[in-house]
Amino acid sequence: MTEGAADDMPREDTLWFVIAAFNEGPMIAEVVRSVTPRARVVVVDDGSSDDTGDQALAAGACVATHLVNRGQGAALQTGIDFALAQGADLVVTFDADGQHDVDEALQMAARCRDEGLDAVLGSRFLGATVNMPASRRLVIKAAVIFTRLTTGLKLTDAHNGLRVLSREAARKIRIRQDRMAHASEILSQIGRLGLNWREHPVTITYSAYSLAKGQKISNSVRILEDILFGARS
Amino acid sequence: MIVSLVASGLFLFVLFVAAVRKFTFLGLKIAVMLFATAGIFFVWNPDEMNRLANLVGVGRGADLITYATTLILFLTVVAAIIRERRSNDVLTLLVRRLAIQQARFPGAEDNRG
Repeated sequence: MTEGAADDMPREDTLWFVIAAFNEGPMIAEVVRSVTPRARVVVVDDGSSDDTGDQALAAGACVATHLVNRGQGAALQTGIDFALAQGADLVVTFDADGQHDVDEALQMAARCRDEGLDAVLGSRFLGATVNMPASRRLVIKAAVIFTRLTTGLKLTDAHNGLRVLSREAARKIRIRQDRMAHASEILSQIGRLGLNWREHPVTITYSAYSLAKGQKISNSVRILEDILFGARS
Repeated sequence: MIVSLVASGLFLFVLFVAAVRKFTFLGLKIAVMLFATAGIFFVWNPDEMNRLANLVGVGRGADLITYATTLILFLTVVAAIIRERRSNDVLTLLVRRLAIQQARFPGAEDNRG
């Protein structure tokens, strides 16, 4: 177990960070170490070909390994199931590439608990973005409009990987979109289940690493395709 | 003549396979057997196919066959996509179950999965 002394706050053992990781070897240990002093972490190694799983384990995370790559949506659901089984009362979905801020995630968790919310969703447009390329801003804005129309939720951001879910919400939401369309799927389920949600301003830091790893614009076509044609019987 | 014989042979084969195989739906089995029987009939009575085509408002029997083939092909592809989705879902559930069962915990190095 890793116990950090970086902060006065004790670690919350029922607060679980779920990190889906695919070939994040260079970055994952740093991300895990930023969280472990404050909360529990499960990294779902989504069939990586590098040492992502070992790095995460050595840094103090629990590691669940997908033997074959199933996509980020599938990996998040695996992590959520694992966290719930370990007794999580709050689940945070957190990106593996270091673009999210742990303190903000903890603020969101506190808000979720204090205000009795089902879900707190990070919004980079209420908060700040560092080095966000204009092309990506445009694509995400388009996604926001699309998501507002399809879910009826008055959001300011879509496809933001930083979310906090209460235990009840995490149990109710089932991610069936294995790939990237899960972000829209989670929102539409929040709408359909009538969950009590708020947005919370967050800072997303676009580093060279996260930009290289992050979604390409061409991916948005595939996400749209998954949403339109991916409905399961 | 040879083409007609080969075509009839193929339809006979389909008929035979449909007759012995188990289907999920009895209706599908009957449909495939009717289809094969009709195939054999129309191979030897091409004029009847023209009459059938005229009946449903299509000029020639050959055109009707083209449309029918396209429709069947389309339905087959849709069925294949649905099957693939289902097996993908099953694979994800399997991979998830294994991942959770064999999860590794920090500080428990003997617990390597």
